[in-house]
Order: sequence, then C-alpha cells, then structure tokens
Amino acid sequence: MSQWMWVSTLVAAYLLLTLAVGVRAGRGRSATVDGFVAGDRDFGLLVMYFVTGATVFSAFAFLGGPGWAYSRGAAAFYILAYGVLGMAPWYVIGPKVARIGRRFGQVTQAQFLVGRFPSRGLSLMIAVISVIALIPYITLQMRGAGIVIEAVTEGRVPLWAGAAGAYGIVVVYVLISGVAAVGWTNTLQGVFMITIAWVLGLYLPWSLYGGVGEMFRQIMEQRPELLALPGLTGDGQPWSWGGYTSAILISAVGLAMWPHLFMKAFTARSERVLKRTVVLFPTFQLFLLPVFLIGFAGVLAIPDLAQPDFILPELILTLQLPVIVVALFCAGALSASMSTGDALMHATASVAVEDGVRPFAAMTEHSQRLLIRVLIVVVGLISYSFAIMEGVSLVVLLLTSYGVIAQLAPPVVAALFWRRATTAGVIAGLIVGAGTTLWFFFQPGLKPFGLHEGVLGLIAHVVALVTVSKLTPPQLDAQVDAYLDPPKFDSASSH
Amino acid sequence: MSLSRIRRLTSAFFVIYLLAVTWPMALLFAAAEPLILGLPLPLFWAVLWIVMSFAMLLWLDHAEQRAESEAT
Repeated sequence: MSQWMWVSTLVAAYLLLTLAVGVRAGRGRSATVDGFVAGDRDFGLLVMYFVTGATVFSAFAFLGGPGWAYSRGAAAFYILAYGVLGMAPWYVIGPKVARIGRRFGQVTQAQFLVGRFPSRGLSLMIAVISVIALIPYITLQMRGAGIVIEAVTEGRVPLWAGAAGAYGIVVVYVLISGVAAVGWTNTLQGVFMITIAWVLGLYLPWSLYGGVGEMFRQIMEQRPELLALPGLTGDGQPWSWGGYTSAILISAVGLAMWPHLFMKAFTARSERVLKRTVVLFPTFQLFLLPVFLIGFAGVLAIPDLAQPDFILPELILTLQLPVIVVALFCAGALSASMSTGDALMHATASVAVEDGVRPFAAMTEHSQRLLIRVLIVVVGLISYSFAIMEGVSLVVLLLTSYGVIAQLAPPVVAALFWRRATTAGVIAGLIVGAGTTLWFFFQPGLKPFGLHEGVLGLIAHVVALVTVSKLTPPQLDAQVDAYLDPPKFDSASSH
Repeated sequence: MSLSRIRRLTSAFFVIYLLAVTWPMALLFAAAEPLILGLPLPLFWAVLWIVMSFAMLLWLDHAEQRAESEAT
C-alpha cells in the first residue's frame, strides 16, 4: 500500500470518529430551538474551553499562520498579541449577556441587541451583516480542508472531493445534533490541534536546524528583517506601525463579536463556566507559538515558495516524514478547519432564521428548527460552490468583514453599560460605522497612517452613536435596567 | 486585598498589556535581538504577556470565587 493510500485511510478513520462523536452528542438534547441553537444552555467547562479555542483558531492556524510567519515574519506576532486582549473583556461581558439571554430566551446576538433596542430593521441589518461576513469565512475553511487533503494525497484526492468529504460529514453531524455536535467535536478537534501543533512546532526546528534557538540564530544571520517588528507586508515591504497596531486593535475588538463566538455565551451552563473559559483561554492562545515556529522553520529550508500558505504541507512532504506524522498533520489541519466551519455554518443558518425571518413571520418551534436545518444545507452548498472556484477575492472580503463585524461591539457595550443609548443612535452608529469601513476599504490611499479601515469605522461609529442617542428621547427605565443590572441566574450552581 | 482592588488592578493590567504590544511602547521591544529562551525579543515579549495575563486572570477568578463563597 503506497503512502498516499495509508494517509487517506488514516484520515478517513479520523473523519469517521468525528462523525460518530458529533452524532452521539445530540442524544438527550431537547427538541427545541433552545436545544438546537444554545445546547439547552448546558455546556460545561471542558466543552466551553475547547469550543472557544477551537472555534477561534481556524484553518488559518495550520495554513495562514505558518504562511504569515514564513513570508511576513514578525508581522504575524499581531495574531499572538490580540487574542487574549479580545477575550479578557468577555470575563465581564459574557456573564451579563448569558444572564440576559437566559431571562429573555435569546439565542442570537441580534435578539440580544433588539431586546434593548427594539427594531425589526436592526434585527434584519445584523442578520444581513452576519451572513455576508460569515459565508466567505466558511468558504475559506472548506478550501483549507480541500487544500490539505489534496496536498497529502499528492493530488489524487482533488480539492473539490476533499472539501466535499470533510464538509459532508460536518453537515451531517450539525444537522443531527445542532450546537451539541459543534461542542463535542470541537473538544476532540481541539485536542488534536494543540497536540499536533506542539509536536510539529518543536520537531521541525529540531530536525532542520538542531533546535529553536539555532533556527532563529540562522534566520538572524540571513533574513534579519523577518524578526523585527512590525515585520513585512505581503509583498515583502516593511509594514507600517499604524497597520500593525490597528490590526491588533480591530482584531481584539472584533474577536468576540463574531456571531459564532458571541452566541456561545448562551450555551454555558453557569457564569462560573463562562468566566473560567476566559481564564483558561490564554493556554489555548499559546498554541500559536508552535504554529509560528513551523512557519519560521521553512524560511531557510524552502526559500521562495510562491504560495506561503502551503509552507506546512510543503515541509511535511519535503522532509519525507513517516506516514503516521503526515496523517496526523492532516487530521490536525482538518480539525482546525472543521471546528470553525461547523460553528460558522450552524451560526449562519441560526442567525438567518432567528434574526432575518422570525421577526417578520410567525413560526412554530418545529418550523424554526426545520428551516435552520434547511439553511445549514443551503449555506453549505453556497460556500462549497465558492470554495471550489479559484480567486483571492474571498480573503480580501473576509479581512474587510472583520472590520464590519467589529462594528457590533459599540452596540453591545452600549446595551450593557450606557443608559442613554437609544435605538436610533445604535442604528445610526451601525450604518455610519459600516459605511465608513467600506468607504476606506475602497479608498485605501486615504487611510491615515495606514490604519485598518475598521478602526476608522469604529471612530465614526462611536461619534454617530453618541450624537444621535443624545439627540433622541431616552429609553424607558425598565427596559434599560434589565440590561444594565441583570439579576444573577445561577447563584446556586456557581460552585 | 479586596475584590474591588483586584478588579481595578486587572483592568489596569490589560490596559498596560495593550499599550505594551502596540505603538509606541512596542518600539522598545521591536529589535530581533537579544534572543531570550531561544526566541527573538518581540516573540518572547508577546508570549510573556500571554503567560502573565493567564496568571492575572487566575488571580482575579480566585478572588471572585472566594468572595462568592463568603457571600453565600
């Protein structure tokens, strides 16, 4: 049996294991929207830890992460810098969101915001922003899975077939078990990702250079520009400090605003679980260190690789590693892709139904669950059709959507902490913020100091939110108090 | 130390963290050398803040939990 067949067999076994875990996860869940979308609000610490970490780190971790370190050097360190900064405020915000969600039966971000700022238009606006931002994200996960399978099978399983196989399994387990499948498969996938990243991150520098320190000493002699901040741009020019700093800011602000992450606040069993998930998150974030070591290991070993995102598969295949290591790499990369892709598909369909359809049409619990399931398949097919087409526009679209998604942060903060915020102010802020982001995206030459367009959008957003809120009548106290000081729900279970 | 003080310290810590990894304070740690524990200075600096933030969050959570158990 040749190497690619062994690898395919081992990867198929891993995918079947994931399918079994995902299908089994749905047992015992209620047949309600709450059960399908929020897991009956019963995720414990283990699942919350992995669902958060594995969802944050996508296919980018095994492909884009090493690719950035390989081609842009220290620029990649911004990814290391923003994760904990973005997650730490969730220690305060997460439990409040969970309390309010439990009290009012909310399962999505828009429902949370519309509870404080009543407006069906706002709900629809958030649904549209979310779906438009999420589809390119899913597409990239599918492409990542297809690329990895194609690489390790030496082209015998093409991208379209690899992506279809991996995501066919994702669709099946998400359809059957909803968010419970996302939780338990992410636990399995998270363990794989962390283990494989550390093994490869330490093994590759050791086998190629004799150790991590020696690797950096050699890079320092031959490519010193790669190791100093703020690193390089994609075309090898020095990156600006404005670009580096604003990338950290916008990513930190936007991180927890992605719907597939925000909605997980509604799945936690208790406030303590949610807080401990935030406390433990830095341990998951450290997983990026070996990811970058992998990328740096390629700098002198395989110089001038045309597509930097392929550096890890290229290293794996060039070094003639044992079959089991190649298969494990493939499983790790697929884990990273699928653990984000499943949460994204589930969130996109849930948001489309709960925020885009339900405010405008009366629906039973049964019809909501049915429509969410139908849309999971539709979203999967749309993303798949994009995934098998060539082109870089999706990456560009995703980077822009990060700036647009970050515009959801001011309304969330205003809902929880600013009494004077009004519905009109929030809608005005969202329109101005998203509009400014998109305008600077299409006029990059006008961006001052190379700042990320999302940061410029946030500045305009806050000005519009505050000004319009001050100019419109304040909200009723009862409506505001429910958000500013929500009663605790789980004092009995907070041990 | 009181819980409210630990909360304030934690907030201050994360503000300093943000300043430490962005311009202009990051300029002080921008050069590749020296290598610390085999890592270039900016990489070691980023990792150090993650480790310190883990310790800080553990401390805060421990204090919160103690306060909750005293209240019940």
